[in-house]
Amino acid sequence: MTAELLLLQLANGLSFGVIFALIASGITLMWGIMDFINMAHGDLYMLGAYGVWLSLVVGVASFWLALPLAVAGVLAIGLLLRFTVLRPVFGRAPLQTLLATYGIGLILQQGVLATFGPFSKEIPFPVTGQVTLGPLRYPTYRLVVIVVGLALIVAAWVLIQRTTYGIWIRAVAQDRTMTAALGVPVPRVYTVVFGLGSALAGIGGALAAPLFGIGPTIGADVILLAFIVVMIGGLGNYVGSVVGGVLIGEVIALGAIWLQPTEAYLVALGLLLVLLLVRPQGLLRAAR
Amino acid sequence: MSAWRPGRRTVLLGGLALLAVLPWLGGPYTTLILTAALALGLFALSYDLVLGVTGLVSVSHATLFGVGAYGMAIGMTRLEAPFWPSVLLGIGAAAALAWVIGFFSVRTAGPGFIIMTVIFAHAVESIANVWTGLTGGENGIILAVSRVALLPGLDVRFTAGSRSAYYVVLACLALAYALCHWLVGSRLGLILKAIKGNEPRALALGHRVGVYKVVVNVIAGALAGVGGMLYGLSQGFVSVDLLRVLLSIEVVVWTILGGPGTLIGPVLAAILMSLGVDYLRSVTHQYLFAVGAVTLLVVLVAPDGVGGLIDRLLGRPAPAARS
Amino acid sequence: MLRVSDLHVFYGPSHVLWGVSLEVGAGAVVALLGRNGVGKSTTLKAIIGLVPARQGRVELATPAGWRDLTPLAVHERAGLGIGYVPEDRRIFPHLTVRENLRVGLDRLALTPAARRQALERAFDLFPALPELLERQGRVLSGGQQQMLAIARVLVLSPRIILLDEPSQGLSPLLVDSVMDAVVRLGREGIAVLLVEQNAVAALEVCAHGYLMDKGTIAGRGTAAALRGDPATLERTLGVTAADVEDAR
Repeated sequence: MTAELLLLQLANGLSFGVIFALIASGITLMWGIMDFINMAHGDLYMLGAYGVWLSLVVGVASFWLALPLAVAGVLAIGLLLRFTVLRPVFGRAPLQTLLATYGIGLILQQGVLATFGPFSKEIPFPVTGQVTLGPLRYPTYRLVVIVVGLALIVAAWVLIQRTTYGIWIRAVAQDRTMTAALGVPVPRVYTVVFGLGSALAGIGGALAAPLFGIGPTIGADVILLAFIVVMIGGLGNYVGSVVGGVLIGEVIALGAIWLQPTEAYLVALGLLLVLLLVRPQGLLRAAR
Repeated sequence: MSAWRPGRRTVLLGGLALLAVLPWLGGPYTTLILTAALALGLFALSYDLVLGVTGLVSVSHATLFGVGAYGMAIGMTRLEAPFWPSVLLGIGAAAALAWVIGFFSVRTAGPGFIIMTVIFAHAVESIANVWTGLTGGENGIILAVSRVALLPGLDVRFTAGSRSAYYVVLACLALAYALCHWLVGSRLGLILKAIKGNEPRALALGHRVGVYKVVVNVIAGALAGVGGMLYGLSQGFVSVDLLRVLLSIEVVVWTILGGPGTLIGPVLAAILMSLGVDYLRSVTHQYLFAVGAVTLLVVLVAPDGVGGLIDRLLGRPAPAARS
Repeated sequence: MLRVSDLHVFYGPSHVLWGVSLEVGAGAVVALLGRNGVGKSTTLKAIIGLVPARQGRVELATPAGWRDLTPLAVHERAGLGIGYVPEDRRIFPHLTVRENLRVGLDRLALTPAARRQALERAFDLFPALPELLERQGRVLSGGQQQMLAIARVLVLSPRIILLDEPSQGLSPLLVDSVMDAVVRLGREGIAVLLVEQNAVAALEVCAHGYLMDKGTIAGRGTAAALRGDPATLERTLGVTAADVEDAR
């Protein structure tokens, strides 16, 4: 093993981590403010990837046009679910949200399977070539993923820290009924969080599509890691989910030097279990 | 629920008699499917100890069902061990994994428990999918068992679709039901019900709630493992399908529909629903659509199960769905 | 300002409010007194909508006339001008004092000037608050939390404030300053429905009082009349005539 390989995998780990963080942050926010376990979150990620692919197939000229289209589509589907079948489920016990969203996820997967078939799709890299970063020659697209992903993560963080909806999101997470008693339209806060989470998952899927390929089960494949990330970061903790995402991304990328992918997953799980023994609340304290 | 209420014993004996007659009404294929349904009924029964009696939401119960089946299958084929040691290996594997899952999951408060079980369930499914050398993947492990020496001198014909296999599974289900019924009425059962009713109070009364949660998960896990083994034996093979998250979700749905904590309700729901899914699978490749739709509909329409739904349709107040 | 009629509330199968009726006039300070567990807090929760009423009406006077609140959600009731200050204050522990104030204030879409004015009004009443603005809610003392809890609804220019046990857990000195604040709220034209265990302190600041017992209204009258009826006070509150005299 050379230092160059190590450096390369560290960078790759960051690109994985950014994508995991995009998915996990939505799960953790939905949990944090509405005790909502979203089992369909991986499928929103999957739809983001399909959205990009479909846009390109029907003739959208560039990936950079297809990406916002795909995200808008996922956002629309997420909000549609929120206002139809999920509307009565908000505020119910976690088991009920889990079942409802699992059912929805299954329907989405089967719908995609029936429409687009079981075979995985590929889309070309929107930017090719490599950039030289010090001693490292690195694929440009992966760098783009890291930069765009981090920018979005920071933007969402600023939204949560600074804006009115951000304060409402944190207030609802800390005390839902008191927030309502101060006149805050809590259902609208739910909508914002559900929309934000869906959009982040869609962006994650769209950005990941050229790297990992597209298939009906990619969401189910990634949800395990996303939940591990959420638990490591502390349920409901946005910053924790970002840190956890990058951590797991690095574990998997570095693990890939010596291990098979599934073994690297197990290392990620092992990391979580060790963490649970040492710090049951997660990596950072569950400060909402 | 209704004015006419036959005693529990009458219902049970009647149901048992009905189940005993069923395999004579069709061919081996019918018997095969019915046997599978009974094994899944045993699986649902064990889960009712977790969700229904203790109020513990675990989404990794099929993991234990499947690992039990695999433990036995690997013992019998890969290790070429005799029947009973293989069975013990299966039960041991399911119970051990149940302990591991329980041990780590109770360390996280409330909802963390659910998510930990989701993580374990997915992790085991991923491993089983990839480690095909051990599990046989989608094709599974074929159990070339034609006779099982249940006891010295008692060999039972255990081929796919044989009535003797059906009756063995039925007997095991009845025994397991008796065991669970006794357990629920025992001191342990009272503590488990206290945990479901009011966990902080149970904690304040000095019960080691975390330990009991692990214990019930291990007992139910071992029982689920038995269900998995019976399923595998009666079908002649064990595959990754037995430990999928999908099956873990299905058993939650069955338990809710049948009435959590009633023991018999989840068993009936499991038998009927699994027969329904089997039928759908035989007529369409898209049966998972229906499974997804049913899972969603249960939450939307019948969060208090069939009993609650009937109560609501008849205009009686039902407890809010907050289990 | 606020009219509650024949309110019945159940917690599960237990019937905790049995037809509570009361009225709070515009700008009036009205006390709701009674022993522990007779349903005072529940009455306030039912008014703001945190517990559902099985029967009865809650009506609020708005510029457009009397408005039935019964079908409205909690945030809609608050939006019509009801400020709720719960017993345990319920300060958001991981928000700063400024953010705690913003939670309600931000929904009003005020001009910067009006916003400053709203905050000034609260700071006027609680001069200690401006220094605490960047402090996290969880590090505040009990008295500071109580000030913030009142300020948090005061900045919303409510028509009426439901104040649940504001003196609870506070030192006598702080109780006095909170009660002074209640008097000033009334003077500024904000109606107050004050729930208090500390009947003596409450009767000092209110014009009218209701006595609650076992989920019903057991008596009502002006503060002076209630103070002058030691027999009733002792029966419903366990307050002796000597207590009332001592306080004077």
